[in-house]
Amino acid sequence: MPRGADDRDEAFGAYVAGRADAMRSTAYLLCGDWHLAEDIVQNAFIKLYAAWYRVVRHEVLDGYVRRIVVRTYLDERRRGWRRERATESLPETAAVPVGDPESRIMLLRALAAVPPRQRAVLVLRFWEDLDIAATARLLGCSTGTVKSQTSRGLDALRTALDLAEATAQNEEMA
Amino acid sequence: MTAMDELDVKAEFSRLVEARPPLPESLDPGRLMSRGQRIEHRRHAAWAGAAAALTAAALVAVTLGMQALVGGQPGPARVAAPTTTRIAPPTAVRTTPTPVTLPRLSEAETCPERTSTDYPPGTSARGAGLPSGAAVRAAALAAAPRLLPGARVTHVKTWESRVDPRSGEPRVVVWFDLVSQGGPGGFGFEIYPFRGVTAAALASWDFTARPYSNCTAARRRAEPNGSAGLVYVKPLGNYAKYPNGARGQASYYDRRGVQVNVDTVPWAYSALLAAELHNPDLGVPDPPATRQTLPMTPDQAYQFARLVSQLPLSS
Repeated sequence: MPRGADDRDEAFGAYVAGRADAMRSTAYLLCGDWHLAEDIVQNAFIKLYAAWYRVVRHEVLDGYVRRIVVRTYLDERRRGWRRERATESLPETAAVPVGDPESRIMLLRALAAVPPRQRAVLVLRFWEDLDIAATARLLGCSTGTVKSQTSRGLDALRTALDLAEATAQNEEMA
Repeated sequence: MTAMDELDVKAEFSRLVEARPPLPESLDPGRLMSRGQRIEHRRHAAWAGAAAALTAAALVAVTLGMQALVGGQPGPARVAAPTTTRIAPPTAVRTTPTPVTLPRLSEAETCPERTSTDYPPGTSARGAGLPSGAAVRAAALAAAPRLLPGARVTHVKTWESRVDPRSGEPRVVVWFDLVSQGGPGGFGFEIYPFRGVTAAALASWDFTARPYSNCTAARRRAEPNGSAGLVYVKPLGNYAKYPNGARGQASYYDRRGVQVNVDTVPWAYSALLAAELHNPDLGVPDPPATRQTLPMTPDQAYQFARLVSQLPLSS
């Protein structure tokens, strides 16, 4: 066992216990699938473990994991080889029913209509509360791009919500 | 919920995640540590193996050089020569190079971000057959000298799933490394069964769906036997942003109900294997590009796809 391995395991365990739920939520907002979100976060934590001594020196644990989560999501969307299935319904989960499930389905569908990079910008800025500069650093783009992607992402989300709401109303009337 | 003029995104996001399921066991710290330790061990082993291979290669080079200096007399080099086999496993093949114009990565189309492509209504994978991973591997290695003259092809990894964890379908995935004059690269197979739709209809469905229709260079092929195909003439991806993301793709839709996708990439699949943690679905970022061209043309990829689609099927 390498020197300091016990310290690492203890610190890593504490970090995962405290941050796994939040990171999984971020991944879920990006990909819209709890199972895939778990895969993405699991992958990120395993990488963090392997890079622990390097990362912990800079005290950037959240940033490191968040970067892997976002890049994994974006790269998965970019890969374009394996066939993906469009889902007609929410993925099967063991979720506790809270709030209005229909409105969540509508919101999830609307979010799915936002292009991946715009969606990533929205999640980083409005969920993770990153400022424009931090978002730009994480995504490897300019602050101007972040601003324009934010604007377009919000427009796309509003449009998709309008459409989803109209569709729901038509279904109710039918 | 209403679509508000002033959208409270954070509140909407909170509402989405409030019904989250309990944390799964896969995110248990102990389990993560155990997997992390396995990766560390693999990395150490890989470094040790690479160091040994480099040492062996250096020994061979030195021995051959000494042999040349003394007039080419047979000596210890004849004993050391099989070391090459350790670097390239027995599955590797090598033949005489012939000139092929390979697509340059910088020619990549800028394709808009993709959306999901579902199957046409009525399509099912239930009960359909697939070739075995071993047969795919053997067929590709056997065909490599003819289809990729001058290249060295090495099998990297095979996955066979009766129920793919993501798609719920049976699937065969086979990855290869490919070393040619342009440097190291890779190509891979992803094979799915389909039923309830003709090969031509499925090819047309994919051809008209995004992202294919947004890549102007995509070509549809119709085979005399009722099978069909799609070929990307240029690499897929935005080279300016993702030089390592450029890739060529081909799909062959066999009339027996097998779809064979072949992609070709400017990096070695063995490099991706460690990063993917031996799970082909994690979708981690691609490794850095190790060559300026794709390692084969999309038409060559299509020939591989067509060849594999002819293999016997088992359900």
